[in-house]
Amino acid sequence: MNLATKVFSNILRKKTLALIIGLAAVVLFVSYLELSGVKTGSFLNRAMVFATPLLFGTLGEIYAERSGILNLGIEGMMSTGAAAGILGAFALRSAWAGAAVGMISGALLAFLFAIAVVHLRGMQVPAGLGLFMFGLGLSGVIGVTHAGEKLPYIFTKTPIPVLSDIPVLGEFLFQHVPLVYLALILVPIMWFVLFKTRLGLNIRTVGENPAAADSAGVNVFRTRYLCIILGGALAGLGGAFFSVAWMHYWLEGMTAGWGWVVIALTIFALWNPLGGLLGSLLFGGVHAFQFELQGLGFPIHILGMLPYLVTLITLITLLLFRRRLGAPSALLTSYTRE
Amino acid sequence: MLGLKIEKRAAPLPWVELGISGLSIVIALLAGSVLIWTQGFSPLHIYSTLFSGGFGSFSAIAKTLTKTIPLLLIGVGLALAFKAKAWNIGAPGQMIIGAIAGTGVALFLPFDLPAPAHIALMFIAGFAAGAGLAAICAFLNTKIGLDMVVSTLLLNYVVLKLLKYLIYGPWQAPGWGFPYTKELSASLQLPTLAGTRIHYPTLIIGIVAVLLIYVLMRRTKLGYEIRVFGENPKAAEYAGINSFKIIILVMIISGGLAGLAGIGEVAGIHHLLKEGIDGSGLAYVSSYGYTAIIVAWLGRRSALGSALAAFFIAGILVGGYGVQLIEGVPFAMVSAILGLILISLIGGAILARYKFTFRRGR
Amino acid sequence: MRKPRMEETVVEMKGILKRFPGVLANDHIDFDVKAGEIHALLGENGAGKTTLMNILYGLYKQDEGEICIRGKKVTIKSPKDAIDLGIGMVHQLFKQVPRHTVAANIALASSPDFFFPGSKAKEKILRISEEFGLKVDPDAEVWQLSAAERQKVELLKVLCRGAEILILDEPTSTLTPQGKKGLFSQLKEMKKKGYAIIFITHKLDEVLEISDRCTVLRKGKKVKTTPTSKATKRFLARWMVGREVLFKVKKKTVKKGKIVLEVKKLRVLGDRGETAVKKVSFSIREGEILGIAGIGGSGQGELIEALTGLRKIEEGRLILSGKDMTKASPREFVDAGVAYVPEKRVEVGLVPTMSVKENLILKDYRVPPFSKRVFLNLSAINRSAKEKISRYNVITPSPDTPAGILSGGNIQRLILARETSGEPKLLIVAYPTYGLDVGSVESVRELLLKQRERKSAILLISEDLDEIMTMSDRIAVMYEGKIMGIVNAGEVTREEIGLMMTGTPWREIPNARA
Repeated sequence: MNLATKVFSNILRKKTLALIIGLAAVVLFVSYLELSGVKTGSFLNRAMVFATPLLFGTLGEIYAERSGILNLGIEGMMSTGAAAGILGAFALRSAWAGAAVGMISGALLAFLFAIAVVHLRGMQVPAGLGLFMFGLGLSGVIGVTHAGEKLPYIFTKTPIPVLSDIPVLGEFLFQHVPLVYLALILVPIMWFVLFKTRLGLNIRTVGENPAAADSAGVNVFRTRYLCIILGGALAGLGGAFFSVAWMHYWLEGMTAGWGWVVIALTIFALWNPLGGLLGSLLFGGVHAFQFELQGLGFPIHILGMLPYLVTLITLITLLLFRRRLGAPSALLTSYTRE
Repeated sequence: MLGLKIEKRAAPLPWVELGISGLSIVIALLAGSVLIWTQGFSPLHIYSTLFSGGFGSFSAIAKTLTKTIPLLLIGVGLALAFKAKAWNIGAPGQMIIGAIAGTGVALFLPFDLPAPAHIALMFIAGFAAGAGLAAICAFLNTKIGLDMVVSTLLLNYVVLKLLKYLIYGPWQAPGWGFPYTKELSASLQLPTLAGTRIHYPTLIIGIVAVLLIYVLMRRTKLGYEIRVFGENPKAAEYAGINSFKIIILVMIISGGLAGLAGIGEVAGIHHLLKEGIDGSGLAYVSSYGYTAIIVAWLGRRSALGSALAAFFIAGILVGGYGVQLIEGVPFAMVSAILGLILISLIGGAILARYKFTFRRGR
Repeated sequence: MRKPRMEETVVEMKGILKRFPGVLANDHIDFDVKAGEIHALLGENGAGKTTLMNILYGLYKQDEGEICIRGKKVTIKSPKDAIDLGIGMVHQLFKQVPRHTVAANIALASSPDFFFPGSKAKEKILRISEEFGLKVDPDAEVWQLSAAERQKVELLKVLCRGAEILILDEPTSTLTPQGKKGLFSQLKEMKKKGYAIIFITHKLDEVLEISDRCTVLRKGKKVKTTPTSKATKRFLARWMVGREVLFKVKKKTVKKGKIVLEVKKLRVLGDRGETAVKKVSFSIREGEILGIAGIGGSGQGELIEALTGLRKIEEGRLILSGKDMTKASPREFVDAGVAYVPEKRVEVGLVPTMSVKENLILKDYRVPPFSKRVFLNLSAINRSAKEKISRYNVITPSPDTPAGILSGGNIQRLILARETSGEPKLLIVAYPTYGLDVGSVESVRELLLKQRERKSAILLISEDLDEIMTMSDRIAVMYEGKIMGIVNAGEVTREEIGLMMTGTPWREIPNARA
């Protein structure tokens, strides 16, 4: 048996263990829900809705970081996406248009960030913080005209025929507005592109060793721009999901730090779109669960800490078990030919 | 055709560094003026109102100085942390936890103390709480490699929820049910300069902090270690510098100073604990803890530079508040412009490393 | 792409000029290569060889001059343009992704397939590696490979792209004598098939052994292009350096003193958790130089890091002047008088953005006279900096200049000034002359020998076998983390060291005098 197969079987064993623990946790959790009178299906349905904006953001950030760029401005792009989304929906009288406008606004902000860190080789951490503040400020400026106003143009719930009739699973995954399906479909697509196509190989090489990519004829700058802008567009879409698809109104600060959760989830996902789905669902689940606990008389503000604390504790646990998470080697470095 | 030629600079010149700060402000204001214009206001008019509101009169300067206090304390601490590339983004949380701890000491001390000692204890508690919160993140970073940006930021939201829990719950003042604690007894409220809200004891602490950090960075062994570690961590390890010590120390100092700023705001201005004591009453993002990040960068991560930048940014905050009241421009505009200043600063840093010359040819 | 006829001129560079701040890297250089020839590009470090080839490969843009490929004038803006023209470059530092498989690394450069580029490239890799005798497992991840195998991957990468003009930048620097032989026979094979090969080197023997023509560069200018058959080693050397080269170090006999460092059965892990150093034992005495030879990545790097406290020791013992230092921190090693000149001078040994004088106190800022309690003593730091700069001949505009802008030789002298001025008990030097110009090489070697006369124990790690053989008193050879043998420098031949470097233990070498 050569080294590669040994390593592989080792990973397999670890993954199986993790899978068993995960399944056991799910079974325990579901039985708790059922015993305390909560319908598991509707609970999971809510968790999936909560997970969707995070999933958009995390998928985008995974691509950006895989190309070697840490964009901390997700929260800013999400906020602007939420405000621009509601503005677009009111102006163009359509929820779809709103989502598109939110996406474009996120992409534009990301473009600004890309100029600063790719061409001008600025430090990524402070530039991302600048983008965070700019995005939040911008959302407050442009959103103020429609603050709190109910949006009349909304997505309709479109259950998928046949699949939506499956007990529990149907309600979990197949009774949603179209944007949720879009997020779910993006997971395998973005996984496939990243790991099984030339484009994905280019992106990963740029994030591991930009000099190697450059020497092989890959345009490092263009690849990084592409990934940053894609990340911005998805973060903007995630923001628009908050206002246009979920709440149907806009309020200043409505993204409530979920953009920062995206940064944490990207690490948790080990820079893999499939892991992004898992992480988003975990956070969405905890968020949904705190509403269940509110009914039992726990103070709401203490419960409000839960999603953030659980994210933090999950990351700590992950790091305790795996010293090396495998972050892209060239993350946080800028590239120049000199 | 005009060709652009880019050459590496031998050494960054001081006036270039200063020029970048100035240029970034200009670029951000220009971009901001576009934003103001799209909202249907006259940029020139808005800016003149903003700057006269922040710096134009004695009372404006007094207000600006009041807001300088927390920005100064937090900004100079962050300058130190950023110098060591310890990305402490948790100042908003550290500030609030400092305010909570200090207020706790002020309201619930089980024994009696003379007022000066009691106030000192409040500030010590504030420092310890902020420092402790930051130290947790530093510890997690050095021991298991948890990214400090992520941990400090997530804790901001946890602490914010804790504050809400306290003021809506166990610490709420009896009576009308407002989300406040009861007021600090008069002997524990800080004195202010006549006719202003400048709580000068905290200002003095801030100035002392600036001077101490200035000396620390330039003249001490620890400052040398911090600079080496921030510029090249591998060389620091090679030189036998203990990275654990550096990160923990800069985080304790920056977190502690943020905690002092928190209790300073409570004891000096609000005299009770409520939401918005961190400056976030005006807009969601305008917490002093976030704004101070810009202070530190605009001041080029130096102690004296941060002090100047704190005053300048405080003026913009005060002016921005006035503009919102008088002209109806949302305060978020100021956040947007501040964010743009930071992005321009980072993007413009390349000017210090490279020389750009245009030449005809080809 | 049309197959060029043999002897046709495929590359022609005319009047190439390239300026970098403060230097003229290429000064009106003319250069050409024919199909079916190996053209050596010879010159010292800094002569402008790599710059010229980076221009041909599109990594730099020339300020003046033009390039013709197969008779047609071209503008090469990026490596992509160069690849489209059939040019391939094997860089001195391999441009590979260690975490990706061989196939993925090659597919990056050559895959025409959008989907499944890695697995589809495998067939092509196997075909081409068969054709040229370059055997590598396409499914292995690159970090598992040896330097020689990584070199093969780099060649395969270029060949899979269909390049017909190959640029090899110092391809032998990480190879053993045996690996070099293999490479040369592969290059001859390619030459026969009509490939044009440009071979960058600073080693005269290699020029004479493999090339058909050679071009000599010195300080950015072309000195001469000549058929190799008409060249002699002596003339090449004079053209390259501009004067007769004397490479004789005057090594005095020094009486060995007490044992300074003793290492017993050391086991150290590498970055990926593999055992990088396996049961290594040796000792060094006062006034002795122990050279460690071995191809890159044989565990020398991890060994040094363990000896300076930068890497944890898993098993075994480390005794320094009778004191157990197995678990000591980097700081304790510094305080115990262990000086270290690292391989990565700028990345590890220097804080490039800080001034020369601040870099000079990197190791002793915490002891008098440079500090008093918590404060630094600025006047003492200034005084000592001036003294060291003149004593070690560090050329710098001022002590306040950022150290990063000094030239390679001056950076090395700065580091040596810092590391040797404190009379270290043990001096560890890694690749001390790599990349330096001839003058600096001599001054650095003299400094080391002077340190030996002062009774320091010196551990010398180098890839330059000549350096190891002339400088050392004893030589240890490492292979895959193990020591193959420790021998006296006068009692061993280059070939025997080459055998040990590739895994033959000393006692198994026939005629071994052990």
